[in-house]
Parts: sequence; structure tokens; C-alpha cells
Amino acid sequence: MVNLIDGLNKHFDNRVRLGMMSALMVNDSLEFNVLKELLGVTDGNLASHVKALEAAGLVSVVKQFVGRKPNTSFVMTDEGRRQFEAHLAALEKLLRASGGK
Amino acid sequence: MNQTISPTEELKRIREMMEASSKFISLSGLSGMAVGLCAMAGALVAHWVLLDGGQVHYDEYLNTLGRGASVRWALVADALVVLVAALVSAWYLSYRKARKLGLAFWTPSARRMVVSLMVVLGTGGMFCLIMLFQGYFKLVAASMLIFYGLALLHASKYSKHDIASLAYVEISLGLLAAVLLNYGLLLWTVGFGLVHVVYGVVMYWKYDRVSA
Repeated sequence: MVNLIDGLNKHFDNRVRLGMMSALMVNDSLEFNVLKELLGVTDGNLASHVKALEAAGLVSVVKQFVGRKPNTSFVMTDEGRRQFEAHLAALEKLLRASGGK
Repeated sequence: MNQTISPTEELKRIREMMEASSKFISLSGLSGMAVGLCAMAGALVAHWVLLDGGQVHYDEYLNTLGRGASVRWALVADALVVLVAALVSAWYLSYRKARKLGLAFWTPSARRMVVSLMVVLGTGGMFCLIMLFQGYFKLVAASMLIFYGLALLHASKYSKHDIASLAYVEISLGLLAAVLLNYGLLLWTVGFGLVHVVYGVVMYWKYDRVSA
């Protein structure tokens, strides 16, 4: 669990959270159901990962009503974007150091 | 869930998610073929049934012909039937492909692609109808091809890059049709029929065959 490599973010060491942040990097906002299908996870699984990312201040949850149906969507916070970019930079550095491609 | 994945795999996963969430990738090669076949069938009807096997020229002569008005409306109706058949089959085949791959079909990127396609295509469609009402038939086939090409180019940023090459082909054919006026229907058939079938086959071989 502990990342020895400097700069890698432990918030993103899970496939679901990594996928969610990647998708939010290129979309202004994503609905719960869209994200669920995209990542191929269950409601509960997605909800628990969202909670973790929200608690860390990396994503924010927008709840609103579309007609009479409640609709939950997510946006990446500025802090989330900053941390994800740092994570990407760290990955790149790691690759370059290992000489891999 | 916490298996250690290599940085290479991690970057691959990030890229996949970025693409899957921002691009509409379910467009199936089969739908390209179906659209092309619809267009060719429509063109055959136009050529053999409505224009008596080329006896009636579809361009400016329609103005002076006695049955000009009815032929004109029959051509418009023919075109509309082709449009609906093409849209329904493209939709259905892409939907089926998405189901088969277990992907979401009506994603935000699919929505954005359809909207950006429709904005340009709708403008082009209205422009063509206005030309018909004003009695300018000569450039309708060329305009349809050009507007369709521009619509594809506009929508290509929400889908695979290959669509942009299809767009350039359609635009070139449209410009050519504007120069060679009497070959309008022929070039229209090539652009909407043949080119779609070829594009569909190429896409099917490139992407769908492996995933099917």
C-alpha cells in the first residue's frame, strides 16, 4: 500500500479512483450513472470511492433535480486537478528513470 | 483492488479512460456499410424510377418539364426515406456494437457528437431545401456533400480520427460535383453510397473484427 516513490499519490493507486480522475480530467462534469457504466462498477463501489475522493477534496459532488428525479454528478476540484497532474508527472519521471517505454 | 500495477499499465489505463469518457467509439463499421447501401438504393430509385433511367435530367431541365414539380417532390421524398433509413440503421448497428462490447451507448460524448453533427447538417439541410424552393437545383447535390463533409469534420473531434478522413473525401467530392454539374447524382451516389461502404469495410476490419 505504501508508495515508496516520491510524488505518487496514494489516492490514485486504485483502478476505480484512477479511472474516475482520468475521466474527470477531460470532462467538465460526469453523472453518477455515466461514470458507473464507464468504469463497470456497482453503485456501492462507486459511492465509496467517491466518498474517499470527496473527503480528500479532490472531487466535488453536485446534486440537483432534473424534473423530479434527483441527479448526482461529479466535478474535479482545482486541488484534484493539481494533484492528478502531479501524479502524472511522477509517473512520467518514474518511466524515464527506469528507461521503460 | 490494490494490486501493484506498473506505471506503464497505469498510464495506459488513464489514456483509455480519458478516451472512453470523451470520445464516441461505438460507431460501427457495419453502420457505415448500411448507410452506403441505403444511399445507393435511393440513388437507383431516383435514377431508374423517378428520372426514367436518365431520360429526365434532374438539373435545370426540371423547371421546364411538365411533370417537373411532381418529380421534384418525389426526389425530396426519396431523399427523406434514404435519410431516415440510414439514420435508423446506423443507430441500431452502433447500439448493438455497444451492447456487445458492454459499453455505454448514449454517453455524454455520443450526445456531443450528435449535436455537433446535427448543427452543421441541419443548416445544410435547410439550405438545400431553400435552394429547392428558390428553384436552384444545380448545386443541391454538391451542397449536400459539402455540408455533410463539414458536419463530419466538426463532429470528428468527439470520435475516432478516421472520421476526419471521411470528411475530407466528402468535401472534395462536393466541390467536384459543383464543378461537374451534370454528374451531380453520380457524385452524390459515390459520396454517400460507395465512400460509406468502403469506409465501413475499412473500419470493420480495423476495429470491429478483433472485438467482435
